[in-house]
Amino acid sequence: MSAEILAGIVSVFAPQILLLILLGVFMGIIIGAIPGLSVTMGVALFLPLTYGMEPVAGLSLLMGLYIGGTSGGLISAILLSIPGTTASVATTFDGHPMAAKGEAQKALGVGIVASFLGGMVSYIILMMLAPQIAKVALQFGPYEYFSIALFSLTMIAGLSSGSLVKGIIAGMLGVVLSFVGIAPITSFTRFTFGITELNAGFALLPFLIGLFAVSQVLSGIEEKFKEEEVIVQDYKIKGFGFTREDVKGQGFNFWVSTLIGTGIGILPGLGAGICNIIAYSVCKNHSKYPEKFGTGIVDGIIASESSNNASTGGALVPLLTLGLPGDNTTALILAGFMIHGITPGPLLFRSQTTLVYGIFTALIIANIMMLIVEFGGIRIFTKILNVPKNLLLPIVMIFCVVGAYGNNNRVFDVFVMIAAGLIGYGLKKLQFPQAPIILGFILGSTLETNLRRGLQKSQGSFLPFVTSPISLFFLVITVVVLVLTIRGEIKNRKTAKE
Amino acid sequence: MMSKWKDLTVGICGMVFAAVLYGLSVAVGQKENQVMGADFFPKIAAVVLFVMFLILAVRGYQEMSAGHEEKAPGYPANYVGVVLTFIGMILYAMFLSKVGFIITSMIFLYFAIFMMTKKEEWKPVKSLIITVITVLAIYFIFTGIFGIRLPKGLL
Repeated sequence: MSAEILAGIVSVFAPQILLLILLGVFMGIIIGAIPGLSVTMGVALFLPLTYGMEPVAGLSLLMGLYIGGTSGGLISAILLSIPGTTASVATTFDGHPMAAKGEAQKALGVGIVASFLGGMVSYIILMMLAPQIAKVALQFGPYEYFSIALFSLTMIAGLSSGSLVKGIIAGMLGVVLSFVGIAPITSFTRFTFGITELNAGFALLPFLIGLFAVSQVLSGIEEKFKEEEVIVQDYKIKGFGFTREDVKGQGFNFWVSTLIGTGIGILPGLGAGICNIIAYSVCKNHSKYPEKFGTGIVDGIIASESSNNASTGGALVPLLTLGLPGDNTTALILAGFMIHGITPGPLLFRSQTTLVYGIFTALIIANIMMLIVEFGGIRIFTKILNVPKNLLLPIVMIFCVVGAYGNNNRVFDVFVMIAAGLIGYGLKKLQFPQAPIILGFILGSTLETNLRRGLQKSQGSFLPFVTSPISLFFLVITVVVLVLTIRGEIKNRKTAKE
Repeated sequence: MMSKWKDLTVGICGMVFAAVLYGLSVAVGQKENQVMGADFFPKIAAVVLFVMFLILAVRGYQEMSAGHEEKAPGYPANYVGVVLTFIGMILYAMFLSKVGFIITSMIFLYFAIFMMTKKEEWKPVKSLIITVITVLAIYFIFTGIFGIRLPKGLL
């Protein structure tokens, strides 16, 4: 076993793979920095590049994108007060006021180092925790997998938007889309309406590209006449941009935020978009000077940036150990695994030990590269913020077509992408969340297969789903989450009426 | 504040969709003729969706009766652009394999840049140069370096 671990670690140090990680980190930071693009879109656009690569090379590129993209949002958050990604919303609260006071260097420096350290801690937790969870998960049967999948879908439906009903509808729509094609267990073809290309169902990648990237392009076109004042100044960081004195006493803040980020990242459906705000709120509430938050203090930046990068390690825990994506971006990384014919899950740690430890090593290297590239390239990234949207979004659309077509060399997949883009755009207009659809689409067959297998095993009885301790645990949490979410919504409605 | 007639309309359309899904699932069950077969889970999904859309419709009706108004976005929404771009995407996909990636992508990219650019900022020659260079660069990077096949079409 240790020979495979060593082989996995060494495999990433090949020059080609190091260059791919560097490319991923660099492009990830750019994509993360530009408001209107997202990490998820970036991974979707670069997935086609991995088709012809070895698995460790392709997945290393995606890890670079993930880490770079999650951190890159701090650049526009601090300089423009516009978060580049949802992971950096809370960074704007103190980052931009700090820049406005003439302390942009300090804000950027503190943010980058907090991202680096938060990420590093979460990857160490990932490496310690994931193999243990995988060992436990090997004992899971259909009852446990069904309950975990249901819990994941409920979490994301309930917590990713303000409306539980809309979240559940979105999740179930994703599940319904997964029905098209060959049914699990009996292999009966259903809902294809005679279209032979649908026999294998909708391809995941074109669907994801359409839902996230194409819908964003359509939204950008709708907002053509929106006035956006963008003032980008040229910045260069000297040293780290801050002194030891500037971050004195921030240890507690850092550790709490990092653990919040890692913990929330592990929970399916939540991710960097939520943990940065939660970490910021927790640190503010426990601070000796909460009134200073929002005026431009390092505490706010450390809370946001350490938690959002920590969530990347957390989100990889359920992906690698159970095959359940922790957030939208890991849903696409799951697609990256599937493109290479690899199924993440507990068996991955036994059958693909080299690959798993290759991924762990790639995460550490990508994190180090993120630190160096962001410090060294800050001037380039601020210049890129000036690229006009009227050029950027149409070019993104061409990349989308390449990605969709290149998946299977079928024009049909381009049509699927366009249809998914229309669905995504429509859902945005009707204020439905997008994340549950993706998880529903991915988990649909897991839910159905394990429900039917479980019922066949128990001869039609639902009792084993509640008598199995792990299954019962996840079902109880699912109910608790539903009850708390409904209570919260009722309370919000009453407050809104008053 | 969102326009609550949307929720009522979506709710009603959704209930119809859920009913159709249930009907199609019954047809699947009749063809397959299995206990707990390929129709089982789609039927459950259809029932859950019907209930959720019903709740949405009821809430939408209640909010509509309460007279909530939609907050205007503060800028004119470019829906014409969205529709035209969507039609452009469909045509792009239709001609992609017959005409080829390079030609169709250049036409679509130029069109999309035109759709996204304000009248006073439109520069036809500059946009054309950007279009040609971008599409050729994308084609050669993806086919030459990353080995992805793209349709040649007429070229």
